[in-house]
Amino acid sequence: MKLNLFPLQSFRARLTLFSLAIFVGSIWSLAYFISTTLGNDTERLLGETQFSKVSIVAEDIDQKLNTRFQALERTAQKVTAAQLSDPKALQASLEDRPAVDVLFNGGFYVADFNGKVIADFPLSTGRLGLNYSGRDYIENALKGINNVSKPFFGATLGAPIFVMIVPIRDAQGKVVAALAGVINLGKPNFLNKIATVREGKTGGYLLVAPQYRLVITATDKTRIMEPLPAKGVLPLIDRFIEGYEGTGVTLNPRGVEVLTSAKRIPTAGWYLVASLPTEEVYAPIRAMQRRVLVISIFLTVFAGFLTWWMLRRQLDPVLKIAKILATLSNATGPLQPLPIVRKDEIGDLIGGFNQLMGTLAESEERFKLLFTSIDQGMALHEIIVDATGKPVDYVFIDINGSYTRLLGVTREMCIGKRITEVMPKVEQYWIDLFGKVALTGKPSYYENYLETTGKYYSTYSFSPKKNQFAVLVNDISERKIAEEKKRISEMRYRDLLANLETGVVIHAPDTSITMNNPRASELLGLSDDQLKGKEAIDPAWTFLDEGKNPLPLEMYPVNRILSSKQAIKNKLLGIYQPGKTELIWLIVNGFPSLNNAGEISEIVISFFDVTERVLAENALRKIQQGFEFAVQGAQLGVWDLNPQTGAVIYSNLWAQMMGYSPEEVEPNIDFFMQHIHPDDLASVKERLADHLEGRKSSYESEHRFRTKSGRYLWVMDRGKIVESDQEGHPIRVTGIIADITKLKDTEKFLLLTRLSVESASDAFYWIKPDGHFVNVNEAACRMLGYTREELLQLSVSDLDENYRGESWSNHYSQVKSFGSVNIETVHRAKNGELIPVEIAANYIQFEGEEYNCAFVRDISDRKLAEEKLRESEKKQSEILEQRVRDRTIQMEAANKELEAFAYSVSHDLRAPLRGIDGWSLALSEDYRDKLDEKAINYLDRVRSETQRMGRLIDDVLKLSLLSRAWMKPQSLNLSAMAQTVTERLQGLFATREVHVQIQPGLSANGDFSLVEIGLTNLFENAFKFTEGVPVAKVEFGQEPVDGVLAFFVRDNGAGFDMAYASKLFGAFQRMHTQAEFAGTGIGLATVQRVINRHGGRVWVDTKPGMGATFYFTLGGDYDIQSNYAGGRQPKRH
Amino acid sequence: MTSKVIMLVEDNQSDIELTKRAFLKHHISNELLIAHDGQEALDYLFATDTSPMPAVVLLDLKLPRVDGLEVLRRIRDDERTRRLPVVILTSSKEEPDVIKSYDLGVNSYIRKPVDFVQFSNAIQTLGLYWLVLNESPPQRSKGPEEES
Repeated sequence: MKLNLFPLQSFRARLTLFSLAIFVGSIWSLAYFISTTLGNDTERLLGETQFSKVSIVAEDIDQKLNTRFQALERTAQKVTAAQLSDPKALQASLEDRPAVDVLFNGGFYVADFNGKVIADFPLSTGRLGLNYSGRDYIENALKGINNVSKPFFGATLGAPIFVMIVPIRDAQGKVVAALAGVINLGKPNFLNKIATVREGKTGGYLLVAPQYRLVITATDKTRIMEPLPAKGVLPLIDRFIEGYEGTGVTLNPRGVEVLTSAKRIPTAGWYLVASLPTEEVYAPIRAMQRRVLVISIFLTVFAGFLTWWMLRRQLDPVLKIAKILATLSNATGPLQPLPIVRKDEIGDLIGGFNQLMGTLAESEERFKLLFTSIDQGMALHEIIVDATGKPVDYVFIDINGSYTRLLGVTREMCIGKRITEVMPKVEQYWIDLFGKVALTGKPSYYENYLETTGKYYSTYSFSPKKNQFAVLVNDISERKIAEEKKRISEMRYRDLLANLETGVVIHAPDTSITMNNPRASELLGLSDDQLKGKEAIDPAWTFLDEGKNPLPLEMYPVNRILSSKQAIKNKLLGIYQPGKTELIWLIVNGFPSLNNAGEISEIVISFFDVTERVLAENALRKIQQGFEFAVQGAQLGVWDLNPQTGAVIYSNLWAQMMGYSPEEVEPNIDFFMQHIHPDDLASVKERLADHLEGRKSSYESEHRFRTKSGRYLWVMDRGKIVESDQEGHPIRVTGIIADITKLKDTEKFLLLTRLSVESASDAFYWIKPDGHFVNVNEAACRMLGYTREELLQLSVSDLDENYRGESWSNHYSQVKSFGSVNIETVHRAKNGELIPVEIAANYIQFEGEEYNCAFVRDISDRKLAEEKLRESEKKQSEILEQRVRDRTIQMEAANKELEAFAYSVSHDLRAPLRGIDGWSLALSEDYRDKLDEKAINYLDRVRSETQRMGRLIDDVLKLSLLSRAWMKPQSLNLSAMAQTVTERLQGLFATREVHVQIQPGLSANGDFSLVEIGLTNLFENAFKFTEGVPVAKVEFGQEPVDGVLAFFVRDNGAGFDMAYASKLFGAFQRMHTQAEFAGTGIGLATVQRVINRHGGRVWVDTKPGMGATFYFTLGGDYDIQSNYAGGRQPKRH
Repeated sequence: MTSKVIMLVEDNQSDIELTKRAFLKHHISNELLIAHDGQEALDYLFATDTSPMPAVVLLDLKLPRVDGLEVLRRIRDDERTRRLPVVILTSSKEEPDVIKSYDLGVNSYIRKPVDFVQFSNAIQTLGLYWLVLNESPPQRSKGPEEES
């Protein structure tokens, strides 16, 4: 405990100081009050005393002033007019007045009306003869007013003086002069009483003339004639000047605070002031106050001591107890009861405290026991924070045994240690968490796993005290493990449910669905979300019973369980899933789950899909029904045999089939055997025995059966053991019998057909649309070298390269559409040999299947002959082709030669001609005078021949060009071309009138240039040869000639003899003399060349004088029949 | 008109004479330069002497040594003679010849007719056209390029 002289925390000290303060406060207040009141009273008393004193003195002075005025007045009355006019007399009269002289220590004088001193006493003053006119007191006196002058410094007396003055009147009362008495203030005078009387020890009096703000006289002689301070400086003085009579405190002009009293002196208008420095006034008050102070101090000290001693004595035991408690709280030992010193209130308090402590000790004991024996680990910590208040660590204060056990620590390891020491790897997270608890006081709970112990803990932490936290730790490993197990088991259960093929739905008692597994939602056709909360009677579902009738609501599984509280088992229900039309069949099981009160807590419904099974059963049922109908419809007889007894039940149909009535039939096996054809009997018996004795799985026999009418029927009889006794002996065999007589007949015919096909020499294939062989005959196998089995594995494409893929399907569709197609192709035999075959393929539709039935004939021999023929033909054609090639080469060479020749002709042949022509002309021109007419004529002839030669050369070149020109065949409008050509010729033959007629719409294929050249030549011919005909006519058209449709150019010109027609189209052939018709003979050769190049023909029909018709065709003759009669396609040459 | 020179490239003496005659007949008295083959013509044209550059070259196609088309090609290839008017005057009117000549930039193609009257008329037209009507390209002096 810290030692302190004035420990303010100490209760005792506080109490002492407080008592002292009250006491001191009272005493000092009292002292202050007394001294103040006394001071004020004394001051007032002194003031009053001073005022009364000053009043007395003032009255005395006033009286003395009055006396002096009276004396002056009396003297003045004595002054006569004569005296006034005789200054000496006046002087004498004045000197005769000693009484006045006593009253005025400065003497007295008479001033005349002009202010001139006319008499003065004593004369020593030297005032006689001086003129005081203008002075206010003189003026006032001359106006008849008694007055006292302002104190002033008298020049003649050389001292401060004041003058009392009265008027001197004549008999008429008129002021004629003034009598003035002078008071010398510098000498003892009647005011000296003031100057000598003192006020108190230091104070004094002051006589003031307020009119002039001048001190007249004062106790302090230095203040005589002293002016007062200006108005406003000292308010009390101003008040006195204004006439206030009374007492007040003020500063005197010397700056000393004084108590002053003033009283007016009415005669002179003055006032008298007594002033006493306040210091002196208050001296007694101060003395008294000092005494009060001393007494107060003494009392204070005394009271303080008394208080302290008293309190000390009274509080001592309490303090002692506090000390004991302090030592006790620090000690670890058990609490001891406190000693009771006195039997007063404090004694009671200690007694009570002891009692409380006893209870506390007990309680602590209990808590300690709890702390140590509690099963939960408990620890108390103190948090450590850094400068910023952030928790950084914590210290273990205490831990209990359970804590050490649970967490595997010892007390030594923990107590007083920091967590960072105990667990260096502790995460800041925990420090923060506990820091929060310790600092905020908010408890926290968490569960965690500790690796060091391998256990789970639940920890509750709380703050019992600021900056501390306690933790309660439980080992919850078992619970955790149990929880985990439970979780796993729940998971398993859920997995089980989830993977179950059975739908499970759990309904609440209100039938709403609380849980379902995926299969359930699948089967019910709703999602989990849709199912949750749905009620079993939801209209979205329709349940059907086994007979597919809608199930009434009360029969719904949930409702039934609800009403009966009984489980339902294997109930078959149909359900339509919402929005679907498929019916689903479910086997439904369900049971109620009852609580302790026997009420239904939930209903568990499970169901699985049996749709397939139900459908299968339905199908089976139908089949059974169908079977019965079938047996009847198929006219099958049914029998039922007991092999042990030989008894047989025959159906009515059986009897009917055999021509008997049911009654006629004997129900035994002998009846059956007796009707079997003798040839078949053994076989039948054997077959039956085979089955009965287990050698064959069924009995089956075809045999002849004699009917009642004696006719034999072919029957098919079949049976099977349906029941055996315990030893395995058959006791029941059931069978059917069918009439197959018609079948047998058909079979016979079929066999015949088959035999025919098999033994045919031609091969026969039955082929499916996909090309696979369905069947083949013996001849086919023989021809191809395969066995039948091998062939049936193959398809046409394996045999015939020509009929694979698309070509096969084309062939097949052809066969299908024509019904029958003949082809020749080659088949490959198994040994690789290629066999030429001729095939007649036939389309057959049989029992809904399509077949290609092909008759195949080996035509190897024929093909061989054909091949030989073809080879010889081929050789021939090869020879021919070689010839053509050779010729072509020769022709090309010739063509090139011709080209070179033509070029040469064009250049070289014409030059000499031009020379001949030119020089002939030169000759005939230059030597015209030397030549006779005949010579000139010859020369002209030379020239004309030359020129003709030139034209010939040109034409020959043109002709040769025709052979070389490149042809561009196109569609030509011959009518239009003829029109153009003839128009051009009309221009050339302008002198002629030729009627041209062109058939419109003629067209052909050909090269434009060549055909135009050809047409030009033909028309030119026509124009030329119609010269001389009166009405020239040229016609172009098309007409049939000898079965060929030919174009023609016809004229009505000269014509010629057909005997020469063969020469007509040769080059340089002319039908007429040059004189008849000009020409080179090239024109028609050109035409022929053009037509030939188009692969056409040109010919002429003419007679001399009858005109000529030139016919031509372009690119092939048109057979007239083909054009006119139709039929065969035009044949190209 | 008299100052302009005509060049005739022709190997046939008869044709030369006839051409001369035709010029004379039509009073075309311009100097007629005769080259007897293609080489001679080229030698003249590309010679660096001061002889005058012809106003027009009348060129036959079929010529010894260098044929007419080659002459034409060289004339057109050379900067000096590139704009020289050249008229083909030949007997041939083979289409390939005509096409080739125009391809090589000939100014005219005239076929010599056999009839002298026609030939003479053609010559007259030619002379009139090339010597009178046609505005010649700016005359360049033959000879070495002046240093500039």
